[in-house]
Amino acid sequence: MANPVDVWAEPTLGENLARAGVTRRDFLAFCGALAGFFALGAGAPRASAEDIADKLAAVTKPNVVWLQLQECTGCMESTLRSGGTTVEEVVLRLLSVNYNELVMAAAGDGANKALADTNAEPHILVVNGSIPLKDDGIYCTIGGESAEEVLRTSAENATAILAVGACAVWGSVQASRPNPTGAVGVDAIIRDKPVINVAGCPPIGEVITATVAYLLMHDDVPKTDAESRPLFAYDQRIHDSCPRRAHFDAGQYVRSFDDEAARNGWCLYEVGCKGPSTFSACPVFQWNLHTSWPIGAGHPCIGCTEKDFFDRFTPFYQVLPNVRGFGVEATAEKIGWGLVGATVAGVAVHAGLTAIRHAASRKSEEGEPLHAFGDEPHGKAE
Amino acid sequence: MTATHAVSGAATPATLTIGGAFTAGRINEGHVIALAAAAPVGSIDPVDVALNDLVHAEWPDLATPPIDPRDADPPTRERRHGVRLVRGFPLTDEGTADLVVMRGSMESVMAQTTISRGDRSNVRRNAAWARRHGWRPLAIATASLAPDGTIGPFALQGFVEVGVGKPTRDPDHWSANWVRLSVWSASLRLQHWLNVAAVFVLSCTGYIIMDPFFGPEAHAGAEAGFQMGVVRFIHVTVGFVWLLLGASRVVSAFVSRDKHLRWTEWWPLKRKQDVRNLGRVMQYYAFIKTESPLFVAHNPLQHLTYAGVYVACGVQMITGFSLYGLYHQTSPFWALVSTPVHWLGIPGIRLIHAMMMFGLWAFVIVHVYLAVRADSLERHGGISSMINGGVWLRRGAKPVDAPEIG
Repeated sequence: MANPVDVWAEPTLGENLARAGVTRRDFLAFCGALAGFFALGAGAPRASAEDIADKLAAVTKPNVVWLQLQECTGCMESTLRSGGTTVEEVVLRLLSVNYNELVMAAAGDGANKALADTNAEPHILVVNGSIPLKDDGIYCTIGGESAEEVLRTSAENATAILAVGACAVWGSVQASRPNPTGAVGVDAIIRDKPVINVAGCPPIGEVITATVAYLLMHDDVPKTDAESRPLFAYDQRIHDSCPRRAHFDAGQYVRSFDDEAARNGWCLYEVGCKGPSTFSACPVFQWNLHTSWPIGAGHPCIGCTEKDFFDRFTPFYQVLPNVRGFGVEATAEKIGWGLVGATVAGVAVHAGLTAIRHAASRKSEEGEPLHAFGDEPHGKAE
Repeated sequence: MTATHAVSGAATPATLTIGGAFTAGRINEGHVIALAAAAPVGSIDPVDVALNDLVHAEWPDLATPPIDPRDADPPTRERRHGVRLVRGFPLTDEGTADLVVMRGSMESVMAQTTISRGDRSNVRRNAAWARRHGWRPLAIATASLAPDGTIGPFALQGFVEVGVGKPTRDPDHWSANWVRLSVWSASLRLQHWLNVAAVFVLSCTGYIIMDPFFGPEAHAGAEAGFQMGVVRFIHVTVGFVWLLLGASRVVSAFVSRDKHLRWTEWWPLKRKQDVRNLGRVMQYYAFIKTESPLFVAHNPLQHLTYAGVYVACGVQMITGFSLYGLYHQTSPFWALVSTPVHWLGIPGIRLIHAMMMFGLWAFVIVHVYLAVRADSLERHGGISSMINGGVWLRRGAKPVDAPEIG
């Protein structure tokens, strides 16, 4: 991969880019893409490519601490594949990521010193991974410190905090029932500063870089929804801009993964697609240089940008989540019809008992035969 | 009372009692009993004896002279009514009349008489009540007897309650008539049926949204259609209508003068007596008690159930609209409406929304069953009251939630 800016020689990003031979035309093209992306959400202020280019070009090198706590490195991989064009790469390099376990060259004491030095100055804090709290946090330690201590130290002088990925947002898979390590997200620990939740498992690389770019551009956090997710990327459900939406409205559903409907690319709702429950820009931005995305590949969305998706959205291939009982799990529909059936049976039994009792009381009314009613043969009494 | 007599021919003599009389309205109860009591000379039929004893004790002026046995045609097993000629019966204050009296089982006599639909239903209702309480209705019909011997058409006059081994009834409550009480206001009935319609439409469309179990097959050239679009349009539109309906119901709960619409009806357990009545109603439904306390409107169990239904419908509206609001997350209003999805997750809200639907279905099944059951057993016209607003109660009944019916 080409690295146009190997060293930060000039004061601003624009000058560094020019020095590295990135034409203004390329830079504007990148900024145009970003402008389109920000315009996705009506919550974000409108920005033209020129505005973005001017502001980004004027950016001076901000320090970044990029922590990787209890996680799988998937978010970092997604970030590194953000677009893949040189310009995104530059933006990332120019962030001066002083500390990141995956990409930094330093190790051991050198790495710890880099972290301590950056923590001492104002910096942007990006967090991947959850924080395990159980048993004094022994389930994730870095340099002998628990993840919680690492996070608290780094958050002290942070000017902005981004929780990137489902782990950092709410704990993800390891925080799902029964959550053996007591994993929580960043905003469960850091309560005195706003935390921007870039949700997803992993989030789209462009959403991560766009959030960072927004911070650099506006010196402020983007508008967010009730779960602190940037509205520019999380204001619409996948369902709302899904290319298969027409099939949903037409009632054309895939009923099993090998049927004709699946080959026709019909709607995946009946095989459990969580698009209607999931806020994300996936259908618009897609993944890996717009190559594809889960629904594009014929797989239902599993709702990974939503909180507790592993507990609340499972089974992934069913329309509704299961109903949990005393160790028994059944589909909502089965339980519903069971309830209706049991009610009908109960009503039938009750009606039967009523009829039996009613008939019995009628029989007892007959009582003694009386001539006046024609019960006895003629002539006996009269 | 004197109207008791040992039943002849019974292995163990049981007393025969006259419980009371029902009149179809043309003559009074005393006349009905006196007509029933007209018997051949020296009759030892226990019904004749009991009736005559009663007439002599209560209405001596109505007592008829014994009938010539040739004027009596007794009932048979095939024709369960007898016919007697009663001469000089004091039908009015002015004078007497010669009548042909038909007396016998209800079905047999009714088959021989002409009667208006309204009267027939009233007679049947009262006869059914008498049977349920252990009396046998002895039907009485009369026809005019012209001097030339021609007999006019028979008209049903009422019935006398005959019981074996039954305690005699308080003569004050002999007036065995049903009274129509207008209970349910028009606006309440309209609310009820609009709700039925809305829940029906929302259930059908909602079930399809939960599980689109049918739809176009996948083959080339299939016309796309707009099935789910139409279903969701109906669901959302009726959802808004239902919300308005719910809002109007809440308003009426606080401003209406109709007691049955007031919010105070939602919690029936205000006194110790209410709790006891709740227990009695539950025992009645569980077949432990044979009689339930009488309520003109709703019993405490109904009040509690309907309060629960209001809560369930409220939950449906809240969950439904929090899901609908997801389309407009940039609007602060709809973002606020959608707040519950952040507590339980969208699938959790959808699950509650679906399970509540099944819960409402179960309620509807029990509700319809118990309504039909109560109307068939108690004959109060509960089913028709949902349309015309009136329930029927017996004169002299003492309901818990209303003054004595008189």
